[in-house]
Amino acid sequence: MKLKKLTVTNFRPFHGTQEISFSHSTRRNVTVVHAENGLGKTALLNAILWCLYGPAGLTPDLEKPERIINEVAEREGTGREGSTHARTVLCFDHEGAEYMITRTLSLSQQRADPSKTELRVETFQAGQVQAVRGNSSEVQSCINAIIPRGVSPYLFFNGERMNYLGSSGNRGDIRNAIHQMLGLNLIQRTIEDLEHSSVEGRFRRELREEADEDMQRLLDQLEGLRKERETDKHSTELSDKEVAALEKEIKVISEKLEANRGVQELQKERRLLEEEMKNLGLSLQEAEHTLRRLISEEALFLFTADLVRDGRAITSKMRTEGRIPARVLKDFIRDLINAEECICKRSLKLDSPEYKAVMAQLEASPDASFIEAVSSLDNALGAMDGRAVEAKRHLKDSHHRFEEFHETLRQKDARVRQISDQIGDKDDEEVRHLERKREDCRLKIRQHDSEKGRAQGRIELADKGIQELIQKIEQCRQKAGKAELARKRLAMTESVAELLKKMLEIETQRFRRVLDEEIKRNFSRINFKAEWNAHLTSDFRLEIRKKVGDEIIEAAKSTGENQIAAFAFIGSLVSLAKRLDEEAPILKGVQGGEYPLVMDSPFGALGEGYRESVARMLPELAPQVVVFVSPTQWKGEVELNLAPRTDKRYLLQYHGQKPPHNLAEVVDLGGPILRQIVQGKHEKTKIVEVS
Amino acid sequence: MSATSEYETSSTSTAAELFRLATKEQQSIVREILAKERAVAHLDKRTGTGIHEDLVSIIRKYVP
Repeated sequence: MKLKKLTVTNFRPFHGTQEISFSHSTRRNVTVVHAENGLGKTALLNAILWCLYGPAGLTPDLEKPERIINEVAEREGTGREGSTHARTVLCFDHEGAEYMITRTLSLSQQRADPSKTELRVETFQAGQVQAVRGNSSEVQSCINAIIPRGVSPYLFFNGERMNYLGSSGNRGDIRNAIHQMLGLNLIQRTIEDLEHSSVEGRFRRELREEADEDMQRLLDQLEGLRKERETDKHSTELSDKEVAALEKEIKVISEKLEANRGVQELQKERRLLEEEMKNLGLSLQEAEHTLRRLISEEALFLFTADLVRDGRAITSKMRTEGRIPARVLKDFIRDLINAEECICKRSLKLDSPEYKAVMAQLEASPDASFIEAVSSLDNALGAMDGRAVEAKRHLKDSHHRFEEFHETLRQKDARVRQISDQIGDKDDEEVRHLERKREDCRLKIRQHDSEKGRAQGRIELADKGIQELIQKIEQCRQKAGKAELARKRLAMTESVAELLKKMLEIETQRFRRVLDEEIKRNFSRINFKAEWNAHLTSDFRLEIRKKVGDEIIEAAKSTGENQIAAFAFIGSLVSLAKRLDEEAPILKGVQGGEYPLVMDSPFGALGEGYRESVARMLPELAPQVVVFVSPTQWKGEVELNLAPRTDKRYLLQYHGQKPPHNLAEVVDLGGPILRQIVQGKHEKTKIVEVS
Repeated sequence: MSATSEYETSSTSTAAELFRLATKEQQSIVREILAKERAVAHLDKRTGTGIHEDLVSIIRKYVP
């Protein structure tokens, strides 16, 4: 980036439109703006910053930063706030293209919200306009891509305030300057982004959400349920065996009874009855099943009689009204009206009696979709009616069959009981004993059946519970899988952030070592104390050390020494940024490149001894140097060293009635005597080129 | 990650050496996220750039 021209219009003390062209020469690379304090040096520095970054770029020491528009212009512009404005235009070359940035603030906007400025960037290449961008964040982004706002404090600064870089307790600033100027802030921002709640925090949240503490509890429940089921299953199997043994015993007893002549016939009848009852029991079960199915599937049709009746009443009413079946459809009548002629060839002109008659028909006539809907209703009513009759018959038949089986079974059971009583009442002791044993076996079978039924109920419940638990466990497993994935992603994010932190630290230290060497070279060129030198420590303190005997110790620094240490540091930084590619950083494509240095009052805090050496070193600090200096500070060694490297010079001239105290009327800048004060009606500053 | 401990214990002197010691996934992630960061580096504000979503997507891509 090489500055070409700055044009200011009604910006702070500058009334009207004025401009400064910057030196573009390689050898004579210095531009000097002479101005006594209070005449606009800081305003000029801020004009560049405001143009580049808007109000956010202004230096913190600027008073009333919300008052951008020149006060005289503001007074003159009252009543035409829309057309009165402040504007700065900065032209510069960058990577083979010429840029023109224009920032404007109207008086009405300053009064409403001075932070909302109008910004325009034009790019020229080979004399042709390459791109014109409108006022949007994209335009600001374009500027930030060329010269990030973060680097501006190290390129455009008040020299008197730069000594803070050299003072103790500023390690953060030094480190930040290195990161900003050498593009390492990209890694810093990446680390911050990775550690942001939307990235690392997101994976943490996913991990927390997915982790399932209930997994073990569910597995325990499943294990418990399976054990219970196993016990019940075993119990039913034992019951089955017991029942089989008891049935076998009953069979043996029955055979013995059937062999006994006294009860032979009764026992035979009982056996046959019990066989029949067994078959009847199966038939009864089947009938009950059929009845249940019919109730669930068809019984609803028994309750649709009211619905069918209402539906029929509606369709019947329509028939009575003549709406169905439709004699004439709406579509047909609409066609006649559109044609303005009836099928009888009578005219259907608007509002004619024929027209009104046909329109009356239109009101009463249904359309095709209505007829279709009524037809569907008719079919549905018919179908429902048929199903209701059928369901009634099915249910009646099925219920009858069920009752029949039930009654037969009850009768046969009664007869079996009767037979059992008769056999039990026989005088034959053996018969009575066999019958008691048989009855005992039968009761035991019933107990087993009852117990088996309960166990089977529990098994069914357990099976259901097991299925539910298996599903829950599977869900848990899936969640656990997600949790594991979130854990891996979180670990990867943390490890990448850690890797970047280590890389950033290594790169920062590598650049620090390079800078340290450069600072020593630059400092030794400024400093006249042979035993002194500057050093950038590993913890980023800018120290000045002196040799005392064989020992090197940290020297007590003056403000001036802090300032030259800061110059040496910034000059080294700008120089390193220029040859960033040569340093082959790990991060290809980081910003760097050529930057100008714009310094307000670089000699203000320096004693006589340092002024000369700083003046000698300044042109070497950057490819382009702009210095704002008071005529007093210019004189002598500064002029002697800077003048041969200066291509452009300007004087800020006071116009008005009340010049700053002690301001001389004229000033000698080593050429013609120039007026520094010009009497005028309104107070303003004028930029005068010094030839 | 296994490579983390590798580069933690290694006496690396340059960022390039450190980078080479990282796992292939870490290297790919670093390359991709820096490319994304570079694309928005000139923006003052991160809001609305979608950079965080991009970083999450990159991590998910390499840890599927």
